[in-house]
Amino acid sequence: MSGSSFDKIYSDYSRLVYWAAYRVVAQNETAEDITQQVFERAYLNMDKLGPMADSQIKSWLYRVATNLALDHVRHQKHETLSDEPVGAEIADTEPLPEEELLKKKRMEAVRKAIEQLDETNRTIITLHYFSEMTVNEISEKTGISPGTIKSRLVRARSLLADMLKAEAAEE
Amino acid sequence: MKKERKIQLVTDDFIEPPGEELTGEQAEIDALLRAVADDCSAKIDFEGIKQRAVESAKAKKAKRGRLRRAIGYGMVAAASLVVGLFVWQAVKGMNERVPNGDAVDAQAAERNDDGLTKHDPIADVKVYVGTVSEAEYTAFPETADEFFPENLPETMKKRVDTDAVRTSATGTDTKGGSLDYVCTVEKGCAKGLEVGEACSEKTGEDLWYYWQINENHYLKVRFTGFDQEDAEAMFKSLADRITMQQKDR
Repeated sequence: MSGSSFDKIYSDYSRLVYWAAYRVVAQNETAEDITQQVFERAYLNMDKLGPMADSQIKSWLYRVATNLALDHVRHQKHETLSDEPVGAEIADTEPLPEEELLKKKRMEAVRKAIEQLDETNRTIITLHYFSEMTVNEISEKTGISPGTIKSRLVRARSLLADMLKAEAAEE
Repeated sequence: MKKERKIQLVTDDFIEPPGEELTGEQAEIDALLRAVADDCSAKIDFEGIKQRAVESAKAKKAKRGRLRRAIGYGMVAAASLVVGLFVWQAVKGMNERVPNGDAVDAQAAERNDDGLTKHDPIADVKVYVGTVSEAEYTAFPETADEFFPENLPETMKKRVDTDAVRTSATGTDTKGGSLDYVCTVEKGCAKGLEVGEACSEKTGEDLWYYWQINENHYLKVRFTGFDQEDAEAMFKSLADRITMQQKDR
């Protein structure tokens, strides 16, 4: 097993794995733990993963991440899940320049808007933008046809645009 | 003539056709979403996660290696012991022959001064490594069902008295003769045995086995109605079971 091979896999797919886990557990710390577990397994199985095609490696990583995340949720069944929004961050104490502040506000608005989407649209947005999956990969994972995925992406973007306009109008 | 074109796939990945170019509101939201996703992802300590994953994986690999080596050494040691015991038994058997080739009475040769049949400790401890520590002994009352040999006839009715650490079983053999089994843990030392040693004696119809399991306790087992070979096999099965159970705790 070559170190660079694991490094490449990690570099290419760590984000995919993290957001695949996050999509299920909705908690930063847990998603990080699961990401760690996934790549620990990848490291231990590099003799099998190394020769695989990129698409197979990606599938394997996504599957392991999702399964571990679902296992976690099952174990936490009786506990109240946190309502942590997508990419919630610790508040900055340093004052920001106005432009930066505006940008941050807009991004926060987008994050909140994503949370308000229904589960299907939220999944598609998360997989496409956060996990950086292609339309065909999302289709494979969700069982929805690529054409429908594309339409839903368009629809989800429109919904988000409307939500952002509505919020801007309220301010 | 139709010309055939050979299509060769460069990779296994599906190459997506170029998508429609986004414009207007769609393009704006698309860019925003990418920025949000990049921003959120940038806040995640991916380097830290990678480091922990690799360290944990390496630790697991090292642990598996140690376990494999330990199992390997254990198997080699066990195999060597078994071979050594067979050789020892063979030599012992040869030495017991008188010059004219007749075998001596094995039991008479093994009787000690008390008139008891004393088995050589090495022959008896080969399967039950020999001792149960005082600390482990305190667990005995919870595990009374360990005090039955695995090869005890299934038709025998078992009884357990955990207060006294006594187990027993009664039944009948195929000819209607009675079978009896009693196993107790007693305080003290039996028959001058060293810790780990075992011996047996026959009194009337009863076959008794004594096993000094630690400095302060010995196992006393009685078989009635069984022939010596079966009793011996059951005693060894019992001792093996007790020792393995203790090791598994």
